[in-house]
Amino acid sequence: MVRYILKRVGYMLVTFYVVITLTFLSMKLLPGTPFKTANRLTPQQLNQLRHYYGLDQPIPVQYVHYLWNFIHGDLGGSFQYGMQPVTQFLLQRFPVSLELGVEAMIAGTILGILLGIVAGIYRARFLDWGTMTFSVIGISIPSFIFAGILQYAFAVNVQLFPVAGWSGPMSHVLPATSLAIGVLALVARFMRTEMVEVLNQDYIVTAQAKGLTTSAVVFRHAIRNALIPIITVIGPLTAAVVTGSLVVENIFAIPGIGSQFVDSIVTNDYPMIMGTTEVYAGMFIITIFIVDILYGVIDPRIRVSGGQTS
Amino acid sequence: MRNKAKWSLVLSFILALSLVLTACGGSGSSSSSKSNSGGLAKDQTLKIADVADIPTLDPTQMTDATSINVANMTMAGLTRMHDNKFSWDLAAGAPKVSADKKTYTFKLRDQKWSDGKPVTAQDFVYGWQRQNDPAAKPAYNFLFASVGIKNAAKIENPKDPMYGKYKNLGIKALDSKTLQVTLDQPAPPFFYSILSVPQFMPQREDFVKAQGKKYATGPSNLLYNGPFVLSSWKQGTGYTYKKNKDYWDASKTKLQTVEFKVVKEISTAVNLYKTGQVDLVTLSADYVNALKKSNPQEIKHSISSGMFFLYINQKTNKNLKNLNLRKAINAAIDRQGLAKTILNDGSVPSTYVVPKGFVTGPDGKDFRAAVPGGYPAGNAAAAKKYWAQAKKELGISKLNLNFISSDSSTTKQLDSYVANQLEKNLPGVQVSINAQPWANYLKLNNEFKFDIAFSGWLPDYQDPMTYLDMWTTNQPQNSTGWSNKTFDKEIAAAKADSNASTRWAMMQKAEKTMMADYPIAPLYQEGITWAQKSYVKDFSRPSYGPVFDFAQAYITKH
Repeated sequence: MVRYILKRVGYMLVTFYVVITLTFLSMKLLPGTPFKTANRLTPQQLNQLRHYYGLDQPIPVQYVHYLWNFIHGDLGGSFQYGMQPVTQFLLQRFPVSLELGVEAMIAGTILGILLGIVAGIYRARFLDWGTMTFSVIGISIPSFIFAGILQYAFAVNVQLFPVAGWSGPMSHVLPATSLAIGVLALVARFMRTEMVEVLNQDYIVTAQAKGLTTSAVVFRHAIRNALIPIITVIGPLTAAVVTGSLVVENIFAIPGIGSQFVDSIVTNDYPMIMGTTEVYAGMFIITIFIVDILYGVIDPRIRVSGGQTS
Repeated sequence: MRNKAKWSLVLSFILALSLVLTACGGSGSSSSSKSNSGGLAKDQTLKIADVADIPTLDPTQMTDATSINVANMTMAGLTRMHDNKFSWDLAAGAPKVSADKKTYTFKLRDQKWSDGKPVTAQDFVYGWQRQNDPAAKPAYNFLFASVGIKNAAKIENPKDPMYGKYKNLGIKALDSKTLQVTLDQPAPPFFYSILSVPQFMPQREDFVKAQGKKYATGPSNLLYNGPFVLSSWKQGTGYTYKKNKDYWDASKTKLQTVEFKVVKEISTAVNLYKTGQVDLVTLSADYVNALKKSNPQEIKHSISSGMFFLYINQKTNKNLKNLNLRKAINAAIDRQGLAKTILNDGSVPSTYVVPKGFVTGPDGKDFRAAVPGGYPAGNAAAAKKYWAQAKKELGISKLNLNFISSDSSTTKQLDSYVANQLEKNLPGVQVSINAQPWANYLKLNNEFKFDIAFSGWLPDYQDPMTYLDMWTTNQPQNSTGWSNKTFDKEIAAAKADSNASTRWAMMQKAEKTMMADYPIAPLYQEGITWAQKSYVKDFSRPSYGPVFDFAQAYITKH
C-alpha cells in the first residue's frame, strides 16, 4: 500500500509539472501584453515596461526563471493588482472558495445520498417521482439562478439572511445552498440508479430470502455497494464546485478565487494565470488521489487492480 | 511633451468593465439640494457598493480610477481637485513664480504623516524621484514629461545618457518647508491641477525603505497625510476609511467613516441598496428604469469626461480614405437613440472631440461654448447621400467593415447598435463585429487590423490638449492613419503659445480642422447614473482626477 501511494504521488508530481509547462507555453501564445495602459505608451515606454518584468527575454529563459522561482515559493506579482504577490492573493482567496465548495459538497452529498436511497427503495412510486423531478430541475438549472432567487426571496423580500458578504455562518447559508442544489440533484440521481441496480442483484435477493429485514438489507448490503460510483463522481464534482462557483461568488460578493481565473486570462496577467491554474490543478490531482484511496477503503478488490496487493 | 500620457480607453475600459463611477462634469457637485430634515446625523458613516477592488496602494503603480480614488482620499499633494477646479492642498497658496515662468517655489503647510512625523519638502522630492526611478518600475511616470518637469523626458528615455538618473529631476527641497520645481519650458495651464494626481504626491524615504517589498501592500504598510486614512482593506470584500483628524483642513470633513463594499454584480449592489445596507450604488442601464419607478428621488445623473468614439482606419483600408465615406459613417449613426435607449445612464450624444463641462478657458467659458452643437455630419438621409457619392468616387457597390471592440457585457449592445445603424442607413455595407479581450483588442488596434474600432478617452490633465494632440501625424494613439498638416501646425502653434487666450482659440480652431475631415466618428460623452439615499449630501465628482470627492460630504438625520 505504501509503495502504491508513493508511486501515485510520483505520478501526481509529473502530472503537475506537465500542467505547469503546458499552461506556461499556451499562456505565452495569448496575444497582447499584460499592461492595461499599453495603448497610452509609446513603443519605447512599452519596451521599458517589458524589460522591467523580464518579458523581453526568450520564452525558454522565462520558463526556467519561472520554475526556479516556483520551487522557491515565489509565484511573482499580479499585473492586475499593482504587482502584489500572487501567493498572498491565492492564500487569501482560495480558502474562501474551498470553504464554500466543501460546505456545498457536504450538504449536497449527504442530502443527495439520502434522497437517492429513498427514491431507490420506493422505486416508481410517488416519492421516487418527486425526488427525480426535483433532481432534473436541480441538474438543469444553473446554480446562479438559484442564487438570484434565494437572494431575492430570503435576503430582500424576507430579510432572514444577509444579501451578500462573507462574515459569519448566516452569510454562508444562501451561497452554499445555491451550490448544493446541483450537487444534491446529481448525487441523488446516481444514488437512486445504483440502489435500483444493487437491489436487483442476486445477493440482495439471497439476503431477503434469508429473512433479513428490509432495513438490514439496505444498510448492510445495498448502500455500501451503491456508494462506489458516488465516490467516483464526488471527486471531480468537488473540484468542479470549488472552481466553478465564480458566478455564485459574484452574486453574493464572496471574496473567493472564482472570477480571478477568468479575469487573469482576459488581462494577460501571466503570474496570476499560472497561480490560479496551479491551485486548480493541484486541487484536482489531490482530489482524484483521495478518491482512489477511498475506493480501496470501500472496496478491497480495487486495491488489487491498482497493481499491488496489500 | 513627446510622451503622451493618456488615461484613455484603458481607464474607460476598466471603468466600463467594472462599472466604476467616473467623474462628473457640468455642475460638478452632484448631491441633492440642502437637507430639509435638518441637522447632521449622529452616525457619519457612508456605505458604498463598488464593483472594483483596489488594484494598488503604491502611487508609482497607479493607473486606474479606483487606485486614484484611494490616493485622493488618503493622500495630500500640493493641490487637490474640488468640483472642476483645483485648490491648494499642502501648498500654502500660490507658489512664487520666476520671471521666465520655469521655476516655481512652493511653501508647504504644516501637516503630519499618520505616524506623527511632519511632511517635508524632501518627501515630495523623494516621491517624485521614486516615480522616475526604474528600480521602482513606475507605471505612469510619463506625466512628468507631459507637464515638462525639467529633465523628466530624458530621465524616462532609455536611450538618453541621463536615463534613470532621477536625481536630475527638476525638484529640490530648499528647506524642510520650501519646495522648488523647475520646468523645461514655461508651465502649461494645467500645471497646478496635474499636481493633484497620485504621481505627484509625497512619499517618505525612510518608511519606503524600511517596508521594502511590503511597501503599500496593506493599510498598515503605507503612510497617510490626507483627509482620511485607510483603516482596513480585505481583498475582495471591501475597505474602510476613517477621518484623519490631523489633516490640516479636517474641520471641513464631516464624515467619520466611509465603507466600500466590493460587489461585482450590479443586481446584488441594488439589493444591498434596497435593504439599506449601502447608501450609494452606481447603476447600469438595466436597473435605471426600475429604480426610477420605485425610488424616483434618489436617482442622480452626471456626465464624465470620458469620450467614446469610433476609430476609422484609413491607413490600411484605402476605401476609408474617402471623405464622403467617413461622413456617411458619421451621419449614419443615430447617437440620440444610442444614448437614450442603449446606454440610458445619462450619457449624451457627441459630435465633438473635447468634452463639455471639462475645463473653462481664459474667458471663463466652457471649451464647448464656442460650438455647442459640435460637428454633426447630418441625419440618415444625409448619410445615404454621402454613401452614394462615396460609392461613385470609389467605384464600389458594397463594403464590408471589420468592427473591433473590447469584449465586455456593456459594449456588446453598443456594438450591435452601431453595426445595425451602419447596415440600415448605408445599404450595401456589412459590418462584422469582432469583440476581443482587451489585450488582443489593443494589439489589433496597434497593428491596424480593423476597419472601425470602438474606443474611448479620459483626460491625463485638465486641458483640451489631452484630447487633441493625440491626433497629430504618427502619434501612437492616432490609430486612424489620418494626417493633416494644417491640424499638426495648429497643435504645434497652440503648444508654443504662452498667451492663454490665443492658445485657447487655436485649440478650438484645431478641433474644427479635425472634424472637417471626420477621421473618427464621435459617439457619446459618458454619463453616470447612480442611486443615492436622500440623507447623503454634498459629495462631488470632479471632471478630472478622482471619481468621488467625499471631503465635504455629510449625512443628515434620517
